Amino acid sequence: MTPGLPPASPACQRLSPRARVGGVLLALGALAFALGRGGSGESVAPPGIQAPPPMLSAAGWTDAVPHFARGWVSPPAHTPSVHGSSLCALPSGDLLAIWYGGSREGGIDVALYTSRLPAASGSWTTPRLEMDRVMAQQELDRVIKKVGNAVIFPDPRGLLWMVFVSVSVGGWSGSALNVRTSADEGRTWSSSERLTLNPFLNLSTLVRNKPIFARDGRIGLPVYHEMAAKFPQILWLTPGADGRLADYRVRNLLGQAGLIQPALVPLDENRVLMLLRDRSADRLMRLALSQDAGWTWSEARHTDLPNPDAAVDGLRLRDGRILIVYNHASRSRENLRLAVSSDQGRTWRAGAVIEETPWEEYSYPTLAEDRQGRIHLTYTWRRERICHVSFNIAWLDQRSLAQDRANSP
Amino acid sequence: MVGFYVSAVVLLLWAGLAAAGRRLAPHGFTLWRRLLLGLVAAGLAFLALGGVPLWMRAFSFHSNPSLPLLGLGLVAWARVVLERDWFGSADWLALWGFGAAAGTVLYLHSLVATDLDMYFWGWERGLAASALGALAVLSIAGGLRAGLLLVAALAAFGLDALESRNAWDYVIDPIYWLLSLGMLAAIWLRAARRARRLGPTAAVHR
Repeated sequence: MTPGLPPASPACQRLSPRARVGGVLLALGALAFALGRGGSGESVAPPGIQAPPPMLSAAGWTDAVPHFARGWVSPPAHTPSVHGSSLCALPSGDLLAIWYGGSREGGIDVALYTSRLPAASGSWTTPRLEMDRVMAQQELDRVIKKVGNAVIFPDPRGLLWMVFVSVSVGGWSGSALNVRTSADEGRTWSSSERLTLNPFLNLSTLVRNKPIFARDGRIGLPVYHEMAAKFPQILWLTPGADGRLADYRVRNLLGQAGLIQPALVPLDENRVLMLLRDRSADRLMRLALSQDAGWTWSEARHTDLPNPDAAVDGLRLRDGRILIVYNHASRSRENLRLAVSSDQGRTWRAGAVIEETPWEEYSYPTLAEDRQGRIHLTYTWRRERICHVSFNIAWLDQRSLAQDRANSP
Repeated sequence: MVGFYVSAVVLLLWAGLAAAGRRLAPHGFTLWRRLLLGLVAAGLAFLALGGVPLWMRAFSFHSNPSLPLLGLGLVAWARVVLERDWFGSADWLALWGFGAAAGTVLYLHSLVATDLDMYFWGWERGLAASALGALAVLSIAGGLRAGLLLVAALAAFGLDALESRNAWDYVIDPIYWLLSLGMLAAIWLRAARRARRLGPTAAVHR
């Protein structure tokens, strides 16, 4: 007899032979139904990723005059604290940035804000509140303690996606991801949908960086897990015919323990580079390589670049080189630098210093390229504002040369 | 989907209230009083604590209760409200055994095999449904009523009844897993205590 339960009557000990036949038929019917419903998700590696923008030779490069500009995405004192910006270039040519701001990181008054830099204008629009705790609670039908990191990106069909973190229980390690889409470049949004990505109460999946796009329409979004074990993951989102989310699944990269906030840089139609934030005592940026469009990954190896347990981002330039932005320190986030690799991440050449002030914080950088090939960078400036920097390859090369001269004996 | 979760919370609250009522009134409640407890449970589910209804608090914490866990709630409800026992001891043992095994494999396998990603298999719709169907057929063919909970899980998976689209979430969840481990431990302890009480001679005679 089972503890806590009364002895069962003999009649309910076992099913009768007739009931067994009925039950088996019922099970087969349910199986046929479940199989018949099918699923739109794919369980195999994507057939390659969307080709990055065409490479241009130096001679074909039209933007030969060095360009550099610095500005602000968030107005002064808009919120006491800001962090975690994400940036994308929209099909219309506008830039759209998203970040979270409030009294402090993780505060209940924290909200997600967006600002737009119209292609024809030189200034960012007034921040617009996109999502706060109360709105998320209403859309997701559950208690929401706080919202956090968000990324926005347009897919190849022009639909804009927003993936954001919300927490119902505990701290950031209790995070879950939610998705919403916009057919009008972020002016209106669909209702949010909660994704279930973890078997243990769906706890602890976070997002930080932009995705890659597979040729079959799937979106490979780099995400990560933080509770107990820390490791990167790739969330594969499958858009339906109507553009909404039809299916999703996450692949855990359990072998890359201690590494989070993966940033993906497509090298060609099959190979993708992954940059990783190092939470181990080594404090060195790591790299992993995928040869099958982001489905499987090599073991992450150290680079010779330091990483103070801070987010990094990367971008494939139109001349084929890789640009990264990172904190060049092993203990603090008091500087922000660029580096360029001409050999697909094997070696790095120091680039410009974007920020450097002792005891201050410059962090969570995001890179995007606009239609003209100009590069845009947003980042957290001392937790007070979101800063925007734009430059071109000519400026990047000019600064790399200057850095080389400064470094030479 | 919200209606599904509200129903589950009402059912569990109803079972809880009825169980508490049985302790207070050992001779049992009349059918009308038991139905009244159902209304009270429905009211409690919508009772707002800090502006949030109780059902929503439960849903926030545990968005994907497995079908076996919901089935356990239903069986408990039938026992205290309808005063009918739907499961026999073999069913209970099968349920606890399945919960303990499935939960241990799913939640702890990565401690042993770091490259194995068992949760991902739950998104392989054909594979997951076939495995679940085979398990349900075997259980029912063996005469276990508990197999019907696997049929319910299979049907719910086909309907995408839970928020999750992963088959694992339809058959196991952390609460069911921990409950299963606890119940198996209690069964084992009780058996060990009885064996000690009876002594070695009793074991020989048995």
